[in-house]
Amino acid sequence: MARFDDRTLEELMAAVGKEAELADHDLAHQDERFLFWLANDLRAGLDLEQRFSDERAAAEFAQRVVTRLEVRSAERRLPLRQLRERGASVRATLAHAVPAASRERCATILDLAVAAGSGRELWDEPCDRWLELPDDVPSGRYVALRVAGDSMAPVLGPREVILIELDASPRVDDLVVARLPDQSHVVKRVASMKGSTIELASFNRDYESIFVSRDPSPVVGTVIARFTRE
Amino acid sequence: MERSDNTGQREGEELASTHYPTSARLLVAVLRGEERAIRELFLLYAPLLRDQARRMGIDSDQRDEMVTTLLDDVVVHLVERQTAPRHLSKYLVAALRNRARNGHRDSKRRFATRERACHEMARSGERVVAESHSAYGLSASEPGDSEGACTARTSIARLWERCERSLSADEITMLIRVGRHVPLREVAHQLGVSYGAARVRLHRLRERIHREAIVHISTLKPEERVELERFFRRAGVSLAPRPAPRQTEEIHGKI
Repeated sequence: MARFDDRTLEELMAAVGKEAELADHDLAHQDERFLFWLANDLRAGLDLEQRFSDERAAAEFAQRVVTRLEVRSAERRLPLRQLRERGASVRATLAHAVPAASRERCATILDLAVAAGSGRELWDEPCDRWLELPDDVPSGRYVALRVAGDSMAPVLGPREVILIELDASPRVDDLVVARLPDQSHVVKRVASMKGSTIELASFNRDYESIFVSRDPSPVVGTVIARFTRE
Repeated sequence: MERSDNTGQREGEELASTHYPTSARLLVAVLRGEERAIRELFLLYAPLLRDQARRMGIDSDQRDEMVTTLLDDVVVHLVERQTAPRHLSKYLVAALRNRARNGHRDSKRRFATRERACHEMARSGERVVAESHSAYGLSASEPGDSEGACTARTSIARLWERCERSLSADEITMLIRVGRHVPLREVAHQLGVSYGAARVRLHRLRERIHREAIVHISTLKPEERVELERFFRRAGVSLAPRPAPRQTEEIHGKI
């Protein structure tokens, strides 16, 4: 009979053994129970100082992981695109320029930065630059805005351009531009919509969440694309 | 990866937590991305993983960072893939072991590359270059690789199914321990037999697996065989059988 060399047989035995282990649910369960018991035992054996230190580390860890998940989710939904910009055909304030730009499959770009942190008034600003809509974006009413501040970093950095679909109904996790009670505008993530309140959160944890009333809706539009800075 | 499609039904181990009374419920909450559950997961498993890292000989100043980074990556992976490991503790310990092994291997490789580059630089004027484009990195990032590993795993699983029918419970235990590279004396102790008896049993087991493997591999399609060889490539094995030696082979325990 033909034979494998010892090395080959040893590797095959190890691989088959691993498969056997995976298939042996009782053994796997025993190992799991032991490790779980050990985890609890080690946790119970921590002294007071270590316990406090772990509590602090766990809180920071959980906050960091949740932020990382939110950031990765937003980056997946809003991949960075190439900015195609041109001069405006009609020079008017934002309120008047939006319909004209829409007819030419464009969105007005506001040179005034929408403050990602502190917020500023939008509609009366003049705009002389338009963004050409990407081919996969359907025609509609859009506004493009340049972000300022670092409250939405690392998803939105200063001077990056975002495309906003006006009058869209936001859902939790969407990035939105919202008008605050002081008439300023901010771009934030919808963290929750409970009862009559919307929680608008920043990716940068140095900024606290803003709670606004749902009625009348403070949301101007939903961010549907982001573009590389010039 | 171990997967479970019935996480909601399994209750798992009991936890000393008011919010998540069992490990299964904790895992479900983690999969939902709940901050409180992620915090509980850290509190429960960080001490275990630090202890395991210590046993693996990882320096004390690196343990905390390694454990935190590992848990961070694992949680993100589980949440994004919505995957529930069947045995979370085992999964975490195995992930730590893999990371420690990869880290050790990479540091050795980095050191060797630096040493080689420094020596060669004196002669040839070459510069030390970043390792980000190593041959291994490029081949590992090829999309076909995971598919190949999957084919090889399927093939090994089929071989295991062939063997399983003819093996006793003690032989399966021995096979699993061999797969884990447990010393033969310890295996003998676990089976309640002498070291000599364990050697004989191991020899018979090897012969049986050998016979099954020869038959199994001869039934593989050429592409399956190539994938299996690629799977074992780093072990330097050849699946081409040689003619049998004439003299009787001695009984020997390899493990």
